[in-house]
Amino acid sequence: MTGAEAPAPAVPEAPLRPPETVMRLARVGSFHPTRISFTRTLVRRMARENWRISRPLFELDGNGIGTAIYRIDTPASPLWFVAFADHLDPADRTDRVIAEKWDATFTLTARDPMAGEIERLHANIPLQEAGRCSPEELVLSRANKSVRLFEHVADALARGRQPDRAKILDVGYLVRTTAVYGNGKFGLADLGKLRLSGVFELPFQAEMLCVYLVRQFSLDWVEHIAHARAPGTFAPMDDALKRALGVGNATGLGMAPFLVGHPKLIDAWITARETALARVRAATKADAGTVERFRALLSRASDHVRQWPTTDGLQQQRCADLLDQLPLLREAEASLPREGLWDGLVNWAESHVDLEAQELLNSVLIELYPALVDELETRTGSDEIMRLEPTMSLGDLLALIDTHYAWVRDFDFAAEAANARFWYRSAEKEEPRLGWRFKEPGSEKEIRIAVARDVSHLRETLADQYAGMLDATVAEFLMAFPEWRQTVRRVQSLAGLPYAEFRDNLIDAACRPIDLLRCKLSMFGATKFDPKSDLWTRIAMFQGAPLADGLDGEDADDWAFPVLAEGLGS
Amino acid sequence: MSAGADSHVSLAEVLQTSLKALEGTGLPAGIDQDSAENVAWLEARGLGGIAILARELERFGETVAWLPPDMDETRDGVVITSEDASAVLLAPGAVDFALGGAAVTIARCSAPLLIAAEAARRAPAGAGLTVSWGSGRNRSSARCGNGLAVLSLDIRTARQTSDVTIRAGKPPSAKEGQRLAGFHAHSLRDGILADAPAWKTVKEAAARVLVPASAQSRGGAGAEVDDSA
Repeated sequence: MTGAEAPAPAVPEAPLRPPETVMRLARVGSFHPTRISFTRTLVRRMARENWRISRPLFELDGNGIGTAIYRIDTPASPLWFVAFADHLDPADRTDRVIAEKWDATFTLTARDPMAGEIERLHANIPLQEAGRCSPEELVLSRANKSVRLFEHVADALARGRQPDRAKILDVGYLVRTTAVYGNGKFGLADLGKLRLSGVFELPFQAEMLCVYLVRQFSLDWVEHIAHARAPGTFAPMDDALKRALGVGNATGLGMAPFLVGHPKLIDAWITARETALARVRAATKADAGTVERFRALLSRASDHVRQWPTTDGLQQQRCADLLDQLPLLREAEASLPREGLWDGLVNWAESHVDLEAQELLNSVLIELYPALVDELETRTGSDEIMRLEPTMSLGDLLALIDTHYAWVRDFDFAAEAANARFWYRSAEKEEPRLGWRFKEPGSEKEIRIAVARDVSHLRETLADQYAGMLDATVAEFLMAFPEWRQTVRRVQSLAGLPYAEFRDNLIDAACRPIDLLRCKLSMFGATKFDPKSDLWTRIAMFQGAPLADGLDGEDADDWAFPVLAEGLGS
Repeated sequence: MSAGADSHVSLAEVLQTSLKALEGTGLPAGIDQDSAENVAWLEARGLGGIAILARELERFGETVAWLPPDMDETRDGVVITSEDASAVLLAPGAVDFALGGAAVTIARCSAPLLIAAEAARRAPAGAGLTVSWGSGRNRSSARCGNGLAVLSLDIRTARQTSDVTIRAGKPPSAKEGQRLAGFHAHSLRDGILADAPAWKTVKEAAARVLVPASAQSRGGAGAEVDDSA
């Protein structure tokens, strides 16, 4: 269901936070996942619809090399997840998109691979970008082992022991995906086909399912290898330990152009998130049980932050500050009036704790009220159609800019620093990169991501050069100056969508792309952000999620702020 | 990989590769987007969008410069003339004027089917646009609106340079639009088998948006640290 088709909310809402508060890089770069993040909504749906996951083929040799197939039975139609595990020379191991070999490659397909498809898939899927998919394949992905953890776990299980707790905490996953492709790339099924299939109507659900199955495969894979090494002493891994393991991911700059290029989708995502928060803030009185749940979640969140490994100095400091500030939130909750407690707490947090703690609080609050917020997951889609209105007068266009894009005037684009960076696609597998405009070649081919600059320049053009001709139409203007077409269409299409634009300058010398990555990754449901620079980050997904055979468990939906419980591991 | 598999493509690939090809050829931002969507619209409906784009790209050469067209208001509407009256360049602006109520004619317009695609994509709900070109037995036309289109093409001349007129018209009924909608559904389901030489031309043009790699540029991707742990 798209946002346009969603029913009007029947529950009270506080006013949504204004975009000038929400859509700043520093704040979206502090987002934590919520219960309407895509990993959570997928797992809930799998449980609600009683999806069944079986493993009709698992032909791996003693070194774990071979083919595995999982079948996913959904009410709409079956799907298959196919994994090809290979030998990877250490010299070929890199998480970069420019890699050409991986430990394992995957596809999610709508056609039974056992019916004569394996050969074709085997000839193409391990090649990834260099291969070709068919419209029956929905997702293409690959992963590398965590060298630190995978070998340790295989060795421990082969010896009949559980893996070392500290090592699990330090990494948190057995494999890391380095790309998850969908939406028609490399011949895959188009998004329109996915929507028509009846299985996937919401964004990124197919990709999330693929990652969930990568996790399942990684757990089966390591046990298979351990068993092959020592069938006599092998011990399977504790289910609770398995559940604590997720899938790692290394994410680079590619997500940033996506966010700018899909503004209506981003508006839908952030609106759903902000609406969830607004509904919770409007809850007039919190009952004792809900307050207890809040305290328990806050405590779990503290444990989660203590188990958040990162080598990044800034993120380490942010985690340390979080641990200092979460108790303050607990104290404030106890001291604030019960009437309008959550609204009062959010207001208190805004002036007493950092953005990390504010946004963690928001995620905790959203977690408290499934009945109020869960239906919002159906509003995370968008038609993404951008419409130009050619009959609009330039005067009206200028007013639109001054009303909805006044924030672009905060930046001085005459200053070199405001134009210092440029985003581009490298000839190396089209990897998105960030260059220094005045030091590197290639800025003439920059990706069009500088919304603030472009709207600012359009405004200058209209206000200065066209001041006497503001009754002319957009059609007349664009016939003379077609270079403004994209910017005009953007302004006209997004004027009524408060969260469509990030209100920062993405080509400024001080821009931190990592904030954009965290925004999108948190919407996916990623945790344990571990920045490796301002340009890329490691994360974990599905840590704490129920295993494939535990989707109907009582705690199957209670995995916010996942924690490795005391006593697990050796 | 089987022979020809490389030209069995998705609609998303058609759109994105066409967009890069047009961006790499120097089309104004936004014109390239509209034109790429027109190419994808035609290709999805079995009307050879990729081949049309490839021909226009070959005609443009490495780059194309925007030459402001002449706009003459006549008794019959607006007439657009340009030194390069390619529909790749002029379709978006011409339909802009048509949506304002004017009858618009592009003189000696190459790739007229792209105009039909632009009109079909943008005709507003409840209203319609009719695109026509050629005359007499060689007349071709497209009636568009409500997200649907019905085409009547003279197969010998429909792709040839011609005067093209866009004017308000009656939108097609659901039944009339069924045939092209069926082609679109088929393309979504099974993908598209693109004309291989034309697809190659488009892909080569798309590569123009790429910046050559260097040691310096690799630093701009991050990940210069050991990431194998």
